[in-house]
Amino acid sequence: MNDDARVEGDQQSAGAWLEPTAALSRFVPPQTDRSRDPTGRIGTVRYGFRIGGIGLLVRPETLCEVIPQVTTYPLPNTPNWVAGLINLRGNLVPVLDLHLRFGVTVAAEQKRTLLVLDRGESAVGLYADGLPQAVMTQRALAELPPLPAALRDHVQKGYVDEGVVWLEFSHADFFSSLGERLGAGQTARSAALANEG
Amino acid sequence: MAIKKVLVCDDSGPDRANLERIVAGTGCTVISAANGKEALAKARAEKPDMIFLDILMPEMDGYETCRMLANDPETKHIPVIFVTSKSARADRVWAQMQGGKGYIAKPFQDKDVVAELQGAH
Repeated sequence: MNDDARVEGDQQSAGAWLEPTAALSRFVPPQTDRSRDPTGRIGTVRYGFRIGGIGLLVRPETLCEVIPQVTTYPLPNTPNWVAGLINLRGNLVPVLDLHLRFGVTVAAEQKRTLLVLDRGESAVGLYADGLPQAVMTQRALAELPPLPAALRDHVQKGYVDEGVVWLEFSHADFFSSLGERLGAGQTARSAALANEG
Repeated sequence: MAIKKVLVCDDSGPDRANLERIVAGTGCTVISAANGKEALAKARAEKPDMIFLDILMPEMDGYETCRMLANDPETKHIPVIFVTSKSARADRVWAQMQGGKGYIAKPFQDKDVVAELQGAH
């Protein structure tokens, strides 16, 4: 780009503010397939988060945002693992408590963090133990350990790093299946109410 | 804490009997369960001081049993020792993440079980 074009572009951007969602959609997650993680170890680096005793890897290129201090509004007539909704820059985002879904306890020494995966219509929030962390995915598991039933169909493989087992899970499929489950529950409740009426 | 009462859970009869023999030999009272659900019920009713838990069992595996024990205020304090044929390092790591306080790989010797009982003192 020459200097004239740059100046013209700057003038345009100075006059027109982007919508927050549009601004966010310009964000490109950092390349995770680097040769060295922040602590200097060499290999493939991914990011993961903990739900109790379960480590889950975020897929490469997934937008993962840590949300500080935000009010979660509970949703009536939903399972206990639906924590509620948050308003994230004008978008209503469902928040799940996967500890309850997986039947695991929160690690006592960890502070709960609200993470939002993906953006727009696909965005889903969840409570994790502590912050996401860099994970080296060099040592793949020969076979997966027995997993909680809710997770079993959504995990493809696993890795060991620094004394933690990290599971490669398809969060989009997982959240879709939870959405279908919620939808089926609502339909059954509506039918029951109609029968009572 | 002195271990006086121990719950042994294994779906394999011979393995369960072997564990019962070793634990009883230390003077502890032994309670037995043949699956995870039975172990949960007996843990709530009997309040053992320690649980030896197999991992690969039908209906409810040892990890799920351990997670449910950890979620119950009445049983979450009970140390769980996994006893299993799965002996890879990753299995040990996963067992610890699921709340296991110890890990014994099959086949084991009597002293391995006794060491876990003594280690809890």
